[in-house]
Amino acid sequence: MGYSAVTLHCLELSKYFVGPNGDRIEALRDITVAANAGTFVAVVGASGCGKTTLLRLVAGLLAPSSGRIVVNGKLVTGPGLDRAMVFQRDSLFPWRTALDNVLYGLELQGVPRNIRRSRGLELLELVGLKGFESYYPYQLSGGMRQRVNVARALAVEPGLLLMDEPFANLDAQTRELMQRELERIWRATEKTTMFVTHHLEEAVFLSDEVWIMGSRPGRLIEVLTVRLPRPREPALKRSQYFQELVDYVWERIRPDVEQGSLQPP
Amino acid sequence: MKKLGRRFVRRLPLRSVVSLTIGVVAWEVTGQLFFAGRPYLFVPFSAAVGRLVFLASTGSLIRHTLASLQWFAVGSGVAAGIGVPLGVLMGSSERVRSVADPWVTIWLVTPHIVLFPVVILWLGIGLVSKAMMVFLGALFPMVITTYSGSRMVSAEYLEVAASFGATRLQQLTTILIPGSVPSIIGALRLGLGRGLISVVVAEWLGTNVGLGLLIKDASDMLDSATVFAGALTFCCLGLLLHYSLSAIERRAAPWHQAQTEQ
Repeated sequence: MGYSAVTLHCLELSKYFVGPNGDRIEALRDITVAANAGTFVAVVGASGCGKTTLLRLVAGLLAPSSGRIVVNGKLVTGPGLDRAMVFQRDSLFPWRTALDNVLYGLELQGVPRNIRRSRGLELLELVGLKGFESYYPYQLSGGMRQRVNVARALAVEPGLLLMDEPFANLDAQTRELMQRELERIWRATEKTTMFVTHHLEEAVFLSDEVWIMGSRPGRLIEVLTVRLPRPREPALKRSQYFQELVDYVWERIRPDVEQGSLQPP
Repeated sequence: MKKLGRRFVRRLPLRSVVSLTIGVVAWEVTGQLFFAGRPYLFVPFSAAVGRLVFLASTGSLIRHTLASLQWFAVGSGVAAGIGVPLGVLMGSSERVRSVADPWVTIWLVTPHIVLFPVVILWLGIGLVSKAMMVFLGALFPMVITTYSGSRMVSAEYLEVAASFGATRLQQLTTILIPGSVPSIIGALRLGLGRGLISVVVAEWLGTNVGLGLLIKDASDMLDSATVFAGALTFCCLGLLLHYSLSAIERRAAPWHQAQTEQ
């Protein structure tokens, strides 16, 4: 059971929303892009460029207005077990322990309890939370909660891991630590990963490819390949090449950020 | 029991103990000093407790209390059995909500006591009639509290469930119901309180046994000691309900209390 890494194709993908006055708001225009199996993709862009919308389309939580999403040769028509999402905010169920949160997806699928449990314990160990299985989310720190969140998504053995700014609410030090942890977990599981962030260093540090998006309307402006050795070490962030990559990405999105900062949302 | 008592005392801060003690002493002193020759108007705390002990010893207190508890249990039990599921359904389904909402609102804002004379006309003054009055008093607060609580279960949790492919039924059983446990407890708290009020009113309107009757008869005969003894009994029943529900909440939703304390 479960999926090994899968390929992702977005074909001429567009998304409109209906605004408060009944007008059409173009969120995404004509996105065609692909990710190979096992690739770590970071999606960056100015606020409101539609990067989260793109992620939710791939997750099947939204339906595209036109175009198609194909995961491992299969057309996406809704949420599916080949994909799993790590949400931005504290989306752990407060009434479930860490282990029961991790087991949620397996429970829905009706996986027998003893198999579920051993897989859940393995995953908690993988994310560095061995011994915390009976803790409730309120008893865990922000970083630990996001580890559980990652384990919950990995539990259903998705081929494609979707992450929506999972570290946005963590303090700077925890965030650094979690970036390294995620890279380690990613190497251990080899899932195709789509990681949305506004943090450019984070994007370059983690990824094989950075998908740079532009605003108004949201569109893909460049796919940047990051050729940095793995495992990625923190010292990497101080290298000149790394800094050049981050600066380059920043220059590509800067016009949108500057324009966006002078406009109402 | 001993353990329970200790926990209760530990949970009560010193200030609260002092404040309670001052209140009881003030009650006692007022009774002793200002109403010494007029026990038909007011009695000191010691006299109320003394009467309570006397009534308990004759068995009359227990007989009346058990009778009151009988319709209270039937009425509020049925109210919880209907009100809580209805509230959760209203919180989860737009269709159920739009059908039920106007009725719930109308019943909630109307003092349900106005219906009691009609209930007596239809059902007499027996168990069924009084249980019906308790039911009417308890139902709507339970529905509305459960409903608003289940609406507050974050939409994000439902989205997480959807992303894992949860069906509508699975969303109900794995997200809405467990997420609503704290508000269901709150609904029971509010509804049972209203139910207790309805017990008294129902018994004042007509009965041949019950705590409300005990109080009303005593009042008619200017026997304030018994009135206060009855009031103390109701107070104890209310406290018992309150702390039982808190204990249930600690067991059923340990995450909630800790979360709100943070």
